[in-house]
Amino acid sequence: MTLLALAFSGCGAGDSEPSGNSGQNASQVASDNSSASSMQSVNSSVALASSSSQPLPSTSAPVNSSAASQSVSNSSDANASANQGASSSATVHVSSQASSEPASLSALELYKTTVEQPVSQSICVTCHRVGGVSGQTRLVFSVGSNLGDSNFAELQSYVLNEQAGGDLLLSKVKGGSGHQGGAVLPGSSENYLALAAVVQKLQGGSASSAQQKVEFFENIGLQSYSQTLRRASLLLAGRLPTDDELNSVVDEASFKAALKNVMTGEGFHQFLVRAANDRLLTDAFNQGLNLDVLEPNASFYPTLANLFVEANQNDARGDFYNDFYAKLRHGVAHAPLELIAYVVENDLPYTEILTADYTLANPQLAQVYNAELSVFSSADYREFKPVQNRGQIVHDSQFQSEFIEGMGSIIASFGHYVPYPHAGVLNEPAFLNRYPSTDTNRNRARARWAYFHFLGVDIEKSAARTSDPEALADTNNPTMNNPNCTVCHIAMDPVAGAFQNYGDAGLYRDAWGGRDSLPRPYKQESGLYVQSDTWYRDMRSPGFNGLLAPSNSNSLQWLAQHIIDDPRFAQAAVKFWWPAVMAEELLEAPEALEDANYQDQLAAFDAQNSFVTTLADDFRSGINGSAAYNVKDLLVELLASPWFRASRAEASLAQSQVAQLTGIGAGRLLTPEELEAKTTALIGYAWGETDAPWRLDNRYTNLINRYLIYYGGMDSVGITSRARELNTLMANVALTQAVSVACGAVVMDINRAPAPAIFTEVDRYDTPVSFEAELVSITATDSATATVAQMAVNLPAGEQQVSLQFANPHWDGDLEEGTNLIITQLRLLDAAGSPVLTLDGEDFPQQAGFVVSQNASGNNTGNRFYDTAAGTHDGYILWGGGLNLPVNVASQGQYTLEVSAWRRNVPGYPVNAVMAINALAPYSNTLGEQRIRQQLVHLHQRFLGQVLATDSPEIDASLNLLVDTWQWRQANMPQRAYDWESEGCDIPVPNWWQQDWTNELADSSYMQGSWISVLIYLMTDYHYLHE
Amino acid sequence: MAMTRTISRRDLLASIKKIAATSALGAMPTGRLFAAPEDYSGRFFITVQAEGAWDTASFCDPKANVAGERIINSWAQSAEIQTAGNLSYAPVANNAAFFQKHYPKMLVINGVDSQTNSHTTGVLHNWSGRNSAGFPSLTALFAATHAPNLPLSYLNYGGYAETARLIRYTRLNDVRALLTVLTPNVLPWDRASTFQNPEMLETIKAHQQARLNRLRNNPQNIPRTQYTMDAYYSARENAAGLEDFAAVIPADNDLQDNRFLQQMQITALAFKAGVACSADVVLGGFDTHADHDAEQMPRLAELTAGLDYLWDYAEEQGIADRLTVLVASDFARTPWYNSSEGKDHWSVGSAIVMEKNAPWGNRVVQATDATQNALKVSPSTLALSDSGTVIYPKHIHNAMRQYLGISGGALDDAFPLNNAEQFGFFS
Repeated sequence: MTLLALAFSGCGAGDSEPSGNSGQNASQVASDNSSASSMQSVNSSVALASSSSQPLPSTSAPVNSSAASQSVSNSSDANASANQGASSSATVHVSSQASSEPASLSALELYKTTVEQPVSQSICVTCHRVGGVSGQTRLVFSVGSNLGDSNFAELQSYVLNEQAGGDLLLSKVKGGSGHQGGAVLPGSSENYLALAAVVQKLQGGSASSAQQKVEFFENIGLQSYSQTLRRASLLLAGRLPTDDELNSVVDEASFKAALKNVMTGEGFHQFLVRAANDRLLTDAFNQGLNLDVLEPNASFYPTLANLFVEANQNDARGDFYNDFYAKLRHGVAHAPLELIAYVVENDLPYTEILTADYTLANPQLAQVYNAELSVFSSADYREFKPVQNRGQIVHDSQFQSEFIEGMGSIIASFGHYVPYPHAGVLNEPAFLNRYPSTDTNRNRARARWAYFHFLGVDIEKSAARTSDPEALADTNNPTMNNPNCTVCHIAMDPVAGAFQNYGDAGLYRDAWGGRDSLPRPYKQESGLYVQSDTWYRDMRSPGFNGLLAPSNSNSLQWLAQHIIDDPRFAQAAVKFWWPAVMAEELLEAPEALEDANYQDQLAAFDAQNSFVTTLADDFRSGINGSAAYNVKDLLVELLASPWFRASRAEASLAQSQVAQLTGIGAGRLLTPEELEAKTTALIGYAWGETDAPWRLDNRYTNLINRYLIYYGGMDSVGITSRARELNTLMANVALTQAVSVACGAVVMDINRAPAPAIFTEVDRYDTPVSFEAELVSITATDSATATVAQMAVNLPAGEQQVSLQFANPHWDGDLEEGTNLIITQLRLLDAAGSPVLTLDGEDFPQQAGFVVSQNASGNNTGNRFYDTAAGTHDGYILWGGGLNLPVNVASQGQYTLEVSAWRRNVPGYPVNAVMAINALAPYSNTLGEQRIRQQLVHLHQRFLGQVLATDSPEIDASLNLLVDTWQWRQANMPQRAYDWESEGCDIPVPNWWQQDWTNELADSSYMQGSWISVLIYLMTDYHYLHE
Repeated sequence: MAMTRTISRRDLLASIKKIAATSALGAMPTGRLFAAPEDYSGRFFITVQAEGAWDTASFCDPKANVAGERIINSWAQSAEIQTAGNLSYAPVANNAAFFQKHYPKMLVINGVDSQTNSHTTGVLHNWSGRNSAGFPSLTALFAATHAPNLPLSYLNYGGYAETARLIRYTRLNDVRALLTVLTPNVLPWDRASTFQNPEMLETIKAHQQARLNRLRNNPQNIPRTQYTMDAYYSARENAAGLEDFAAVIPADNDLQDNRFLQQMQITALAFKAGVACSADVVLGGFDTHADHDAEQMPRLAELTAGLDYLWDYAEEQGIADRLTVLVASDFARTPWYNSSEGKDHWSVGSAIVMEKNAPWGNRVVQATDATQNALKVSPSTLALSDSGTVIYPKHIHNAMRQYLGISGGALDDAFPLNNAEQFGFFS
């Protein structure tokens, strides 16, 4: 991994070249963190220490010094390691300390030997020269050899005469203070340090910026491999990692391999499409933005025009718009996104997103493109395949058409189909239409966004403009001649020209005649137009970076090739994908030197920019020896970096470091899409998920289709950025989701066959007080043949409670009778099988401490059973609820609880009982409590990504909640998962309320209801909503 | 069904207090934690953002055509500039009705130089007060200064919404879906019932908030984690008043269907319910590079219709006396038509401040010449003056900060508008 200080030409007119020196001689500044247990100097790389069992991983953090330290968190909670028993710790220093040059050298000598050639002549003069974009600024160098003296004088004048000139200069080269050329020297680069040393000498050692030391990731601990893999899986694949995946991670290499392995499947595909749309915003056409480029009434795509006319003739206009055209529109809107996803998923070089001589289309779009439809496996509008656009025509002399209002364009004849000159995303109709042009805009918006997305340059940031009325009123072609305007246009307009073949909406050569896309007023009124022109004569010629496009027929393909050859393309790729992974935009260079936190902002920007630059270098050449421009590798490096994995402060952070680290590392708010995927992965369905025939995808969910904007999502039209922190309404959306799905999730899972997926450590009868509890089926129908059920249980000495509950009392409306459970005898046997307690059912009420439950009217739900035939009491009958009996256990040991019982009424309907022995009060460390703690540990791990011990404070807290709710439900609620008299439950089964869910909803132990509360607690937890 | 000990409501409340007492509420490391919301009785502030750059020459800074110059406005070929009180307006769109009705509320400042023709920079400059990134919107500053603890203190509908992490904004779109999330526990299909028993849900919330507080107090938190935890904590702390908002949401039939009017309506209702104090309302479509007259005038009409509706509805809701509105745009449009009958970008535009019964109402600061160039103005007298200064967005913001009670506070200090003369717009 090399450290390159890349020239970054925001002016766009000059060449961007690597600096003369790589970082191989960069000074290596050791950490001053004396607490670091091990220190290593790794040239131009960062060493991140983990446990001793893990080799030092390397990242592409672009620092010229490194130190490794090992630290194991003493936290057993949030930051505990989930595997390898270790959590990584990074001590990364990004130092901008001026290099120590021989004191004997004068500033001039220092300048001439270390700055003039590698910095001034190689980088600065690209713009800061006479005639250059920055030729009218206060710093203009001479171009050529042996000009060190004069250029030094220029630099000296700037540093000493400008207000805070030294700081300003050093700030600007790092991209700050509104430097229109962006960041040209990373603060850790040798060239920067050399320049800083000159400034320091010029100022007599007073250059504050040069002396500032930034320790960016010092004392910041990283998430473990397993924690990182979990986050990556959720974010990039919409699922949790499998046990096999987690177990496969043993070192840095296997960690990265595991990260790359999650980049498959539909979840990853959706991540790619979503991430691409967050930048390109072409999904806007599915959100109400007019798709002018493929408009049914138009006549540039005959297949589309004919289908529309045919639909109108068949009086099927509504169906056409709601079905075929809606699918076609989706195809157009998502084509650039699918192209990017296709390139990434197939490990094609990322450059192909601009050079692909094909597009991605769904069947409907492919039909309009006259492409081969046999490549599709179905007519599913979500299936995209690479095809070529051979569906457009131009309005040339052979074109004849009649437009009939209400019918469409009836095309009588036309010439050939355009061999569409695909240039990847650049001439995707959706991209062109998303940034439409006008007669005066002249493709400048397209140029602006091409620069932004594919070169990482925001031209508009350099668009601050004079207030001089004369300059404002300049009508002498100011974009060509007025320096206030040329600052942007010298770079932008040639690229705009490269889009010359595309009209305002994005159609190829849509002007009448089909030879260009120039507007009629220009051609007819300007006096400039010459036959066969395809571009404006009062604008700069199509080109890029000072080069002219050689042909007007393929200028966009030519531009694409030059963009991918530009070093900034790789940097732009990093910038393109960064927000999807980090949930933050990359920092912008601060512009106002007077801002109180300017230096912190600049330091953070510089560190980030350095990382981006170096990672981009690796991306261009192939990360870790892999193929060049592989986005999966790029994503792996982002995920494995401290920018993603930073998770804890291992010492008190300095205020400046706090300011710099804002927005970095763990704690990113999940987007609505990510949260929905996570919920689906955990409970098996999404909130409000239902079939939706009125939607193309036949799927409706609350979070995506109703509360997307409320929860910080975007519609790609009016709202084009995501909310990154929770506000009150968003918190309420999260709460609404939790209370809406918790009941259904618990009931579905606890009753799941063959076994629950969530509640794996308990059954529904384990309570906070149960030593043991079991469900038994009572099948006998008379006392003589009573069912005898036994349950082994280990009991401590002392008073305990025997509990017998009627698990599923049922009333049959047709028979007008309810099921009864009659208990004839209860015995407790010791380990030898000898009874230590024998009680006949009819004697229960006489036992001290006997309690039977009561119904809502305050009446007992059981009584002594009177056998009419025998004329005597024989047993205890329950028609609902249950009973408790105290029992004194003389000594700790193994016992057996034996219950004899029979059933009556509603023949064929099962009668089940829950037998249990309980402690008198919670927190008695019963087996039930232990299982519940295990279950809580499992839930914290699954839902929150926390690895906790069963006796950790957070598990104690969760248990407290469960006990509180459990006791409250016992006191106030019927024995059902929810009280349908006052509560609601949304079970994700169509028409479930029309079916018999008595057994599933039965909650004789009050635990389903209690687990519902716990699930609400977890699904509104900070760690559920953030990753 | 009573089987073990019963829990009374009193026990439950005691349990909640116990949870709170053990969660180290007082040991907050960083971030903003606000006290329980109190009734907000202060001023409400709305910015109305005309996205894309409006044509002030066809609105509040009307320009007649100048002999020998290119045509500024086609309407000016056959119509005269009109006046309402001291204000002038162009006789197009629905300007007449708007100006004639509302001029007593209006301060019009013509000649605000945005110093850019870039939309991005223009938006940034006009709504944050400077053309460098990093400053919060005026609305964010207002909310963070006066009522940060309101549940939805700062509403934003998609315009400039930089908060500088002072406060979180809330975006509202589908009003019909709002009711459910304002009352999350209420069953959508039976609003008389709840998912969880309300007492039980309060117990869960108390446990949850106690846990979040424990998480927040972890000294190992990195800045991002700390900030997002604090944000979530305060979001939940401030949720109490949302049911008041739910109580004022009108029936579906009474909801506005027009998107712009809906923003106005829901904002007024949020103000009335005491859950918000500031809002950014947006209307797009002003970027009329082609066919300007046909495209721009409907937008201006929609803008004035929305403002008119806002004031009427605010009056109806009883909050008009507490409302201040700032209307502006990215910049303005050229005082000439291009070859496509459109108008391109022009950096000199206008701002309008509105308030009922304002002593500065019916006032215009006229700092443009006949061809819409910016002129220098004396900050004290507001008269044209060669020794004065051109009005920049920072001057508007400086004066607004002063007027809205933001100046002099810590937040004002943190985002200083350097070298901004104090204009006496409101004196």
